[in-house]
Amino acid sequence: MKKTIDQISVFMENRPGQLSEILGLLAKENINLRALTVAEVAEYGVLRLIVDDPEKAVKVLVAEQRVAVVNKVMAVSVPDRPGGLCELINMLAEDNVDIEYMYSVFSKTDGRAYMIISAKDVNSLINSLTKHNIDTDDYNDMGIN
Amino acid sequence: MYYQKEIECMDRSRLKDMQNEKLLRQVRHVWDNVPYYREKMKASGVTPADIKSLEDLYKLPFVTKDDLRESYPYGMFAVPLSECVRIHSTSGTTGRRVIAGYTQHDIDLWEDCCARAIVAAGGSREDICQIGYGYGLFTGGAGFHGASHKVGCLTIPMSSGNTDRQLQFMEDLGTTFLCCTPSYAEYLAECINERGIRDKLKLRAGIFGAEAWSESMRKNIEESLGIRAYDIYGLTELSGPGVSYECGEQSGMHINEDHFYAEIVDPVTFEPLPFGSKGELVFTALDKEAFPLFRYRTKDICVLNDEPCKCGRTHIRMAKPMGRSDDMLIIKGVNVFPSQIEEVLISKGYSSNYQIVVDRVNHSDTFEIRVELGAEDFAGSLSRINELEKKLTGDIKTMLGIVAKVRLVAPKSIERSEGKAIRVIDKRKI
Ligand SMILES: [Zn+2]
Repeated sequence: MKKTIDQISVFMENRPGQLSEILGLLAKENINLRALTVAEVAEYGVLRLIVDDPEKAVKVLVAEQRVAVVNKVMAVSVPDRPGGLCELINMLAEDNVDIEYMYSVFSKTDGRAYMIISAKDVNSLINSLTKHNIDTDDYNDMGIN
Repeated sequence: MYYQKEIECMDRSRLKDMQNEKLLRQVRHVWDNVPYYREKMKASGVTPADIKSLEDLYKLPFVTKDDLRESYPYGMFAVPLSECVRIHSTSGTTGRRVIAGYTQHDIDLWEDCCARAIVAAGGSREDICQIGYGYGLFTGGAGFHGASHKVGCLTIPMSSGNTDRQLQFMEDLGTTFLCCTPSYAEYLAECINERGIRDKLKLRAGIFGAEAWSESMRKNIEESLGIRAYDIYGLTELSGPGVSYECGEQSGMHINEDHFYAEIVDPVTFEPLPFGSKGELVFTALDKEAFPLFRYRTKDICVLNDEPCKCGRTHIRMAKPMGRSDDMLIIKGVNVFPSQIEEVLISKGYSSNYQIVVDRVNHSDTFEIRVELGAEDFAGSLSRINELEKKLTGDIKTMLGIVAKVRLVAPKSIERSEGKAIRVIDKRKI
């Protein structure tokens, strides 16, 4: 069975200093960041983080009155050749996997590129990846711990 | 059951005759005995001869809380102090308190009004009535105390506070009927269930007033105590609790129209509005002797209902007040009360920490509502927030009839003043 990984989503208002405040809170508690991306519309955004201790990170943020939740996402290996990502996306589309968003991250251990993918239905994503025998990674492979 | 059936179920045309008769007598009484109001009438160009029936009531000048403060302490009294037997007073958090005077006749009519409320809520001489309203200058304790006597209940004059003793008496003496504020009833219910003594109690009904409470609070009190919870309305300026009260139908409060005549006026122009309109509630006391007020502006926003009630009472009903006219905003030409927005938020499970921001851009109003987002609502996706905002925009449009820009914001991000979120920022006034 392919494993999902825990990603933290933090609600952010678009005002100066928000990102540094949040990152500062995590740094103070010695929480290590592995990947980060920000999605935003005009007035607010969602900060997405992959960290070494998601449970603790959410606790720290919630204690500081931040809205933070854990989402299940997959870290999917991208074939290392031209058009590799395109193939992957086409394949998921054919299997009717509804992708909410994705962003890339590099593994510390093997130097390979991974896409962090969030699907509306995580099981459909797992099934498609399993069917096509695509590599996924959990925390250990990504070199977080 | 009725306390005074012949009045509570009086034919409406007879009731109107009675009101007209009382009004004419009252106008004369005030003109002769209250120089302060006589001068106001003169300034409006009205004399008692101009008032021939309730149709002419609109000619009389309003009385406001400012008038009562200005005439402090006895300026509005219409009888010599030797005729008065008691005063009560408003809590007066700002400015001077209002001192309301009563003759024995005034006390009697007030207690009758409250007694009608107790009987309408199913109370009778078989009941043991625990009064948990404060006794003293506040009208809650005294009004229910007198009424409970009139109905013939065994009256327990507990006053407010001292929860341990309240609960002990309730259990030991077998209290069946409770009168207190709704927030205290909720607190008592919590304590009763925590201590697991609910089964030992005989409570079956209660009348809860003197502060605003919602339908969800009623449901909570009724379920957690296993009783029926009735609403009541009143103002010290008009006597106290019992100006209007709920019957067993629990759909609006019957106004004791033989003593209090209600009008609804536009909160901005003060023009009288037809039945069913939402506006400021204005009361005229038709037969109080010591402290008779004409067209007293309550600042409560309300709707009147003259449809016949299934209970058989003919007196009209008023809705639970839905806000204070002081809080009203006019946005895009529509009257908006923060309490309406709060109602939507609470019913949809949001926190009541919100902020309304109104501005004027290019001669038209902008209307934004900021609502603090709860962790439960945030599933981690942008589209989810967008979806919540859209839904809430729709719910608010249904309530107000106009579109607001709804913005979800981080918890605790709305500016606070003394711990409370600042509810309204109206930049049009700056
Ligand atoms: Zn009724």
